[in-house]
This record gives sequence, C-alpha cells and structure tokens, in this order.
Amino acid sequence: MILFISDLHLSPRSPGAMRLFLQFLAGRAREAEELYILGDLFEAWIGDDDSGDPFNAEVVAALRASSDAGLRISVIHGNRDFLLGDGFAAATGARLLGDPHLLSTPEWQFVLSHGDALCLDDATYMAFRAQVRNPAWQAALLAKPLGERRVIAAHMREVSEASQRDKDNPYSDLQAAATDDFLREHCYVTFIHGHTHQPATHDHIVDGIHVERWVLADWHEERGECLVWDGEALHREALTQENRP
Amino acid sequence: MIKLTTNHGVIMLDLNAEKAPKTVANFLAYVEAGHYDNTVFHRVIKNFMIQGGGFEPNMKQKPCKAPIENEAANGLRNKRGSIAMARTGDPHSATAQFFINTVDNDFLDFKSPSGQGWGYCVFGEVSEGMDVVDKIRAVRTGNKGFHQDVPADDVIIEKAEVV
Repeated sequence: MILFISDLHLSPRSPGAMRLFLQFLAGRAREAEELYILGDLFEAWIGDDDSGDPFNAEVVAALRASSDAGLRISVIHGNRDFLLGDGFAAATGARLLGDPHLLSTPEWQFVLSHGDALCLDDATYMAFRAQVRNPAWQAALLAKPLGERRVIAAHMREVSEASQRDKDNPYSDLQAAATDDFLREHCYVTFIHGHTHQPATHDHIVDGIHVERWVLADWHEERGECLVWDGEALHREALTQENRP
Repeated sequence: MIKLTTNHGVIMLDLNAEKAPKTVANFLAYVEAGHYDNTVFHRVIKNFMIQGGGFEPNMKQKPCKAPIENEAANGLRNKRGSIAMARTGDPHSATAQFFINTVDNDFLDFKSPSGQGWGYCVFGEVSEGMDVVDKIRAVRTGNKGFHQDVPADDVIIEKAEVV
C-alpha cells in the first residue's frame, strides 16, 4: 500500500494539523509500505541547520520513528520547504526526490510532482520560483546566519500573503496546455500532485488517450487527507483526530 | 447512578457532579439522548483502559455534540476503576467517548494547564461490576481498518440509563 499526502503547511501556528500528522504517522501510515510527501510538508524551512527549533525537531523525530518502524518515506520539495536538504533526509530517514518523479509499481505507473512548475499563467509566481529554485541563490541564502534567514523567510511570507490578497483564488492552477505536454512527456501515466489546494480528480484526453490527474488535498486544523494506492485503485481517505487517553 | 448494560454484564457508575459538573452534565445528556445505546468498547488495552461511546458495531462513528471544557484539574485521579473522558490532542475536545481505567494511570492526571500537562478528566468511578470491566479488558483484540486494539468480537453497550 502506498500513501500520498501534500500541502500540510505544518507550523507552530497550526497545532491541529500538526496533531493530525503525528497521529497519522504513528497510526494510519504504519499500515502502508510507502509514504510520498509531495511538497509543502512545512509552512517554512529555512535550512537543515535549524534543527534546534523544537517544532521542527518534533516533526523530524516523528518521521524518523516511522522510518525506523519500516515505512519508506519520500519527499518532493514544495514552494515553502524548498530548502529541505540532505541533513533533513539523514535525520528522518526519508529520501528527497527530484520533481517530477516517476513511480513504477508492479501494477501501475504514476508521475509525482508538487505541481507548481506547471502554473505557467502566474508570471509573478514563476519568477519567484525561478529565483528560489536557483542553486546559487539557495547557497547564498544558506550561507547567511539563521537569524537573518528567519527575517528573510518572514518577509517572503508577507510578500506572498500580500500578493494573494489581490486574487480570487490565492493558488493559481496548472496551465492546461503545459499539463497536456507534461502528460505526453510522461507517457500518459497517472499524474498525482498538490500545490493548488483544489483537490479533485481530472480526466484528460491527450492524443486520444485518457489520463487521470489526482490533485491532493491541503490539510486543515480539523481535517487531513491522504490518497491511497492499494494495488488496484486510488481512493481518498479523510483523516480526523481520534479521541484517546 | 448510571447503569451500563453490556453483552458481558452490568457496570454501575457513580458520577461526581460536584468535582466535574460540566463533564457529568455532558455525559448525562448523552445517556439521556440514547447516544450510548448500541455503541461498543472499541479500544481495549488490558493493562491500560477500555474506551467506548463513539462507535457503533462495525466501527461506524456516531455524530457528537460540541466539545466541552477539560475539568481534569479537579483533583480526581485516573486510578483503577475511575471513568474519564477521551479527547483529541486538544485538551478541551472531549465529546462522547469515555474510558474506564483498568489500572492506576497516574500519567493521565492533570499536571498543568498547558499542552501535554492537561491530562484527562475523571468524572466518576465504577461502583459495581468491576468484574465485568475485567472480563472486557481481557478480550482478544486486533486491528480493524486503521483502528488498533479493537475487540475481535464486539463488546456492546446495549443500554446506558440513569437509575
């Protein structure tokens, strides 16, 4: 069984989503062999050397516990946690994947992505993306002291939130033509991505071939969602908080 | 007194409205609404507790009312035979699900009004039928769906009533 999640945007400002995720990792996820996190696990990640932060440390420890219990965890960068690096991978036991990533199972093939690279209609966003995904820019940022990075991250979030206020939907969608090209390049396999916060299952007909595109749901304080591949079909599963002592 | 008639026998509960007024009022409201009739003890861990009140047989979750304030700071302890409210990670999130401690669980007691320290609110104790609780705690359990520690054969609360 394989599980897919994305867009949890974990931060100390969202304790409910954090609790859901910890519960998910300790419970539901343990029944699967593999977990794919398709971007924006964190609301912000300013470098692997920020492990002294207690919130980050708790997430890392929970991922490590699941890895140690036999769950294979794979992570694709999102537009918030693009600085997740080898230090994070080593600490959690997760592997970092390139975007897009082809996933072949004995039964079916998938192409996995965060999804933001196809939002070509949003020129401002694409310019931002080109900057933050530039290795030289990232290296220069990581060379700055943690305190300074924190200030920069806060500023970037303010700019992002300000630009989102002017839009009907703060998350732009994938460009249709680029998506068709993408599906063509990836041999019409089932496409799974996040980023848009518009969970839905889309049917594309590309070159006369039917291709499914599954958009993962973002997580909220009271509710998360994972997509489940059980070897035969994909289905969505809601995650709510369990009552416990 | 509350009488829980289960398929393993009768459990009598003495509620402490003086120490846990809101929690007791909440529990009584669920009893009087018939909420607990035909629910199961769905989480049974022998040397910990038996938890129920939220699911019908076949693990169908029942709708609940609004969550209540956590009154765990009332001095009542999670000792063997006490009944307390289950909740999510949010301290003030108890609704209908409750549990009966099968051993002394000091670590569930209130420590401080913050995060992990809140503990779980005890609001009464088993006055008769601890032998029934002991029968239930010993049933065989396994995984059902993604729930763990679920009795293999349903442990059913057939009726909950005020007597």
